[in-house]
Amino acid sequence: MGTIDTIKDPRIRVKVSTQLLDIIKKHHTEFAGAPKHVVDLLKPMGIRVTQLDNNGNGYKGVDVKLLNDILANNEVTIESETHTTKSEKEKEEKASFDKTKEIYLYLSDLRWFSQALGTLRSKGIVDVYLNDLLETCSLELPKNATIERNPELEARCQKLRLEQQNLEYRKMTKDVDATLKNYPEDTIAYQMKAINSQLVAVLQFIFSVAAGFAFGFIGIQLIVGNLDFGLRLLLGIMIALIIALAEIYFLAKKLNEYDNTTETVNKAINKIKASKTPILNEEIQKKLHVE
Amino acid sequence: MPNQVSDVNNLLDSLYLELLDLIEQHTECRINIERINNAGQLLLAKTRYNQGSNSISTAQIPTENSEDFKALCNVEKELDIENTIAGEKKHLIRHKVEKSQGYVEPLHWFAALPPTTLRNATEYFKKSVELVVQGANIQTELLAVMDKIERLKQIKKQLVL
Repeated sequence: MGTIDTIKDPRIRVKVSTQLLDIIKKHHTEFAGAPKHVVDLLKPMGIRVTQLDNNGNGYKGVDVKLLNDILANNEVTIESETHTTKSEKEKEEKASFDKTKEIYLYLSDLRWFSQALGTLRSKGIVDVYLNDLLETCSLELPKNATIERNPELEARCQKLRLEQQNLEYRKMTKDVDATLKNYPEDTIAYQMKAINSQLVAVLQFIFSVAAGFAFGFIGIQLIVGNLDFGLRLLLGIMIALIIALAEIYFLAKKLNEYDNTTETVNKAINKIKASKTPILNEEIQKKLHVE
Repeated sequence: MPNQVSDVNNLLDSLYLELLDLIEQHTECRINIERINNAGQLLLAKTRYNQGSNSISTAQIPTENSEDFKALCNVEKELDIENTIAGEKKHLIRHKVEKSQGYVEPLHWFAALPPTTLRNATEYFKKSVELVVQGANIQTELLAVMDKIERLKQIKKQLVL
C-alpha cells in the first residue's frame, strides 16, 4: 500500500536501441563533442568523446512554412488502420534492445544527436535520419513516485482498528453476555453523575458570586453604618467581580478536565501501573525474607 | 526528388523533437496544476478551520432564483498560423469586477472582508485556470504535431517508393 506522489523529474527518456547505439559507436570520432550526459554514458563502453559546454544551443524550431507547403503539395491518402497496426508490429519486432545495458537519452541529448547527424550527412558519411532511428527506440514517460507507508504508522493504525472492532463487538454482544450488561458508560446513572459533577461546579460558582455581592451590598452597611445606595451597589459589584474572576479560573480548570478525558484515563492507568510495581517488589522482598 | 526527401526527413526530425519537447512541457504543466491546486485547497481548508464549519450556509451561494451574473473569465481562440503548428491558440480573458455590468466578485458572497487565506486561495485557483489554458494549448499543439508526423510519414513512403 502506498500513496502516489507528484512527479519529481518531468523529463522524458528514450530507451536507446542497438541500431542507434551502433551508429554512435561507429562514428564517434566524427563528433565534435557531446553533452555531459552522453559522455558519461559512453565512458563505460570505452568510447571517449570530448565534452561540449553549450547544450543544444543551435536548436531551431519547426519550419512551419515548409511543413505546410509540403503537406499542401502532396495529397495524402490515409491508409486503413489495419495496415498501420501491422507495420507497427513489424517495427516492434525489429526494435532490439541491449538487455544487459539500458541506456537512456534525454531530450537535450537527442537535439545534439540530430545536429550531429546533420553534420555527418553533410559530410556524406551516413544517410540516416533521426526519425528512422527513433522509431526503433522506445519512449519512457515520467512516472509518479510512490511513497511507501511508514510501518510504525501502519502498526498504530492496526492497533486502533483492533480497539474499535473490540468496542463494536462488545456493544453487539452486550445483550447476550451477562457480565457485560452493566457497561458503566451506557447506564443512566453514570451519565447523571457526570452531569451532576459539572452542575455542582457551575452552581458553586454562582453561589459564591452571589454571596460576595451580598457581602458588599448588605454586610459592609451593617459594619460601617448608613451608606449611600450607589456606593453599596458599587461595593457589591466590585467584590462580586473579584470573586468571579478567581472562581472562573478554577471553573475553567475543572471543566477542561472533562474535555480531555482520554488524558485523565491515561493518567489513571499510569498511576495504577506505578502503584502496582512497588507492591510486586514488596512481595518479592517478603518472600525472600521468609526463605 | 532527393531534395524533397531530405526536406521531409529533416522536418520529421524536427517534428519528433518538438513532440518530445511538448510531452515534457505537458507533464510539467500538469505537475504545476497539481501543485497549485493542492496549495489552494489547503488554504481553503485552513479558512474553514479558522472560521468554523457553520459559518457558511447555502443561503450565501447564488441559486437559480437569484440574479444572473456574467463569468469573470472567458477563453478565446486566436488564429496563429506562423508560430504554431496547430494554427490556433487559446487565450484567457479576465473582466474587471463591475456590478452594474453584471460582473460580480464571488469572494464577497462569503464575507464583506474575506480572510487572507481565502483571498490567497483564490489567487492560487486563478493561476491554476491560466495553467489549464496553457496545458490545453500544449495539448492541441501535441495533437497537431502527431497528425503532421503521421501525414509526413505517408509522404515519405510515397516518395521512397
